[in-house]
Amino acid sequence: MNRKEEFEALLTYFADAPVSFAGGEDSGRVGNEEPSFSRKSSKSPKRVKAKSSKLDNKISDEMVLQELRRTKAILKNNPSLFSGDPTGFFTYEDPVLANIAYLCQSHLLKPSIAALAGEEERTISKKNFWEWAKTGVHLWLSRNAKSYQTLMGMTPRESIKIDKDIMRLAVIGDAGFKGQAQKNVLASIKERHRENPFDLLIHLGDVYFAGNEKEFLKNFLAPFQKVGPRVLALVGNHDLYFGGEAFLDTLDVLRQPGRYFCVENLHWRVGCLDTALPDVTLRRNSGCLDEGQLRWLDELLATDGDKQTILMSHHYIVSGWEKSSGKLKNQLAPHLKKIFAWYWGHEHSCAVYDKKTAGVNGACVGNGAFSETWKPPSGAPLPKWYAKGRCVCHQTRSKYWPHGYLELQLEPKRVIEKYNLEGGKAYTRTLKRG
Amino acid sequence: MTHIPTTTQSTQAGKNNLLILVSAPSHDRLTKYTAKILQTLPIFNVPTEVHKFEGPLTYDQLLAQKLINPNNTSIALIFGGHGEASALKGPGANPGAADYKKARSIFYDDSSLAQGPDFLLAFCCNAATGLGESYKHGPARRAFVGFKTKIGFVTVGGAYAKCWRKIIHSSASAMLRAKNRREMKKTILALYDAAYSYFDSAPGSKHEHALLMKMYLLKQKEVLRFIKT
Repeated sequence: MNRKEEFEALLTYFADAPVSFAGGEDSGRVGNEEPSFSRKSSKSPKRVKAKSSKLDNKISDEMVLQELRRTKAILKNNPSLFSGDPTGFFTYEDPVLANIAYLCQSHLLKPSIAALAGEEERTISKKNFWEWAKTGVHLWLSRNAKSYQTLMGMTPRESIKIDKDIMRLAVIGDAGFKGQAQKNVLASIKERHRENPFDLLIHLGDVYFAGNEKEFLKNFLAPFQKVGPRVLALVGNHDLYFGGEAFLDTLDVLRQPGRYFCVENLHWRVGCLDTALPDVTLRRNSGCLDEGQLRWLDELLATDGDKQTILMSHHYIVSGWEKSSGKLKNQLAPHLKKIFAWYWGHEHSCAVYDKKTAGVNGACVGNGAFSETWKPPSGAPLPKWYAKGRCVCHQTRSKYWPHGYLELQLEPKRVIEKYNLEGGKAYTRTLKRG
Repeated sequence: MTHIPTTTQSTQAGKNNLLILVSAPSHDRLTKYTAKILQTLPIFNVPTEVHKFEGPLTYDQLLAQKLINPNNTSIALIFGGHGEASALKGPGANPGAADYKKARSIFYDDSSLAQGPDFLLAFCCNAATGLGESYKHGPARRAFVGFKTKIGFVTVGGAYAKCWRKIIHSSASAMLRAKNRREMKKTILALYDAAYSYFDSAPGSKHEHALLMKMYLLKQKEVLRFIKT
């Protein structure tokens, strides 16, 4: 059994546990019935609503079991919530599962220490899983929901100006995961920065697994700050799975003007969007923009001048693999003609799209650090190009997407995109201004 | 068979005899399970009435139905079902009603305290915080055993049901037999320890849900409350 199967088997064991609670309140499906939604329903079952009076000291077993039951049902309806390597590190596009997976895998990261002591723990026991599940649910239910409101108010007053004719950006997505892949990719950015400096290093979001403060510090701020260029961060769904506090603190550390912002020089405007926080669904998997941000974008695009606009976001509206967000697509459809190019993450792959087939020149650059099994595109629009190699982080060919980053050079009359992949491979495209 | 004194220690002054009244609401998955356990408890050596009910019923109504006079009968109520701080709860609707499984009604609360029972084993959530408190400050020579918070059960037959059955039966016996609160508490906690030990080592640990049983036995043990006035 691989780690994913082991994890999900334990989830199933507890979710299916024949346990009932002898409470007097009508608390819905308190261990009495199976969830009443149908298997075909596209609606997710409602989460336990956290009342602060219940969370004063601890989360009850009943609440934990209820969450596990609903989480199991959600996963059964949406197996694509799984992301990563079933035999290695993985996560889920769901806050409770992401928290529990993080805790379980952190536990399994300890074998290197345990091995020194003569022990090796390669599997998770039922007892440990239950402890991590309780903690994971607790983390989710006790998140500081007010921090989301505070973060929502972090809107920019001014853009970041790069006072140069040519603006150079290093763009990397879904790279908030410390490991060999991140190390390799950041090292290659650092080396390139020495040869031909970047003005900014932009992360397209997602610090794994749940964006808590420790993860932000260890998996994002510490490694990224060592690379060289100034770092800016977009919000991804995982960044908010433990509340918004860590991302708020990160904005302070990075001296970033807001959760969305604009970077510009004489010729270009790069609108960096927040598609995660306005998505108020539990998993924030689809992405959308809030009204204030849409107005800001309208103003950005309506500004007179010769500047062309490039957008960056965590979520996408175009994919040859997954169904893209309907809401985000609808919100941005009226603006697509004015967008010169668009770069996003969320999918842990590297694929380039063109205006003819996809309606926009753009690319997915979510192959920053997280391992994802490679597969060819299966839907429309087909990408113009996608990375066909494999990750060689551990020097043997694996089944995962190769990791890398986008080197974006914004010149007065054109944009040069260079998709740098591990092993020294690259794909280059030039987009000319009309 | 556990010997329970039928007079003096167990009965209230002025009451001639002792009756164990086992009340088993049965209207959802949990209570159907607990009802089966209550209906198959080992024999007590005192008169026992077991009453399973599937529709709304109060304690007073039950006494009336069974022609039990609380003024001359000392009643030991064993209740298994749902509870809240100040009440034991039974079905809130009749079978077949739309909200049957979820609806609850009060079976017993402290408004009936004057009627007894003299001994109450409240095998349900939370009742120790309200009802237990009422027992503590209520009429003398009464006993109460219940739980301060929500409790969970592994609702499977076999070894699991056997465990719950033993705990309920022996707890009730201890409540009736014990000379004082300390003795009652010691005896009942020892039951939980024994049950835990069974599931903690072979052969009990081999049961599929041994871990869950240990969790809930521990949890129940932690939140038990004992009153003997």
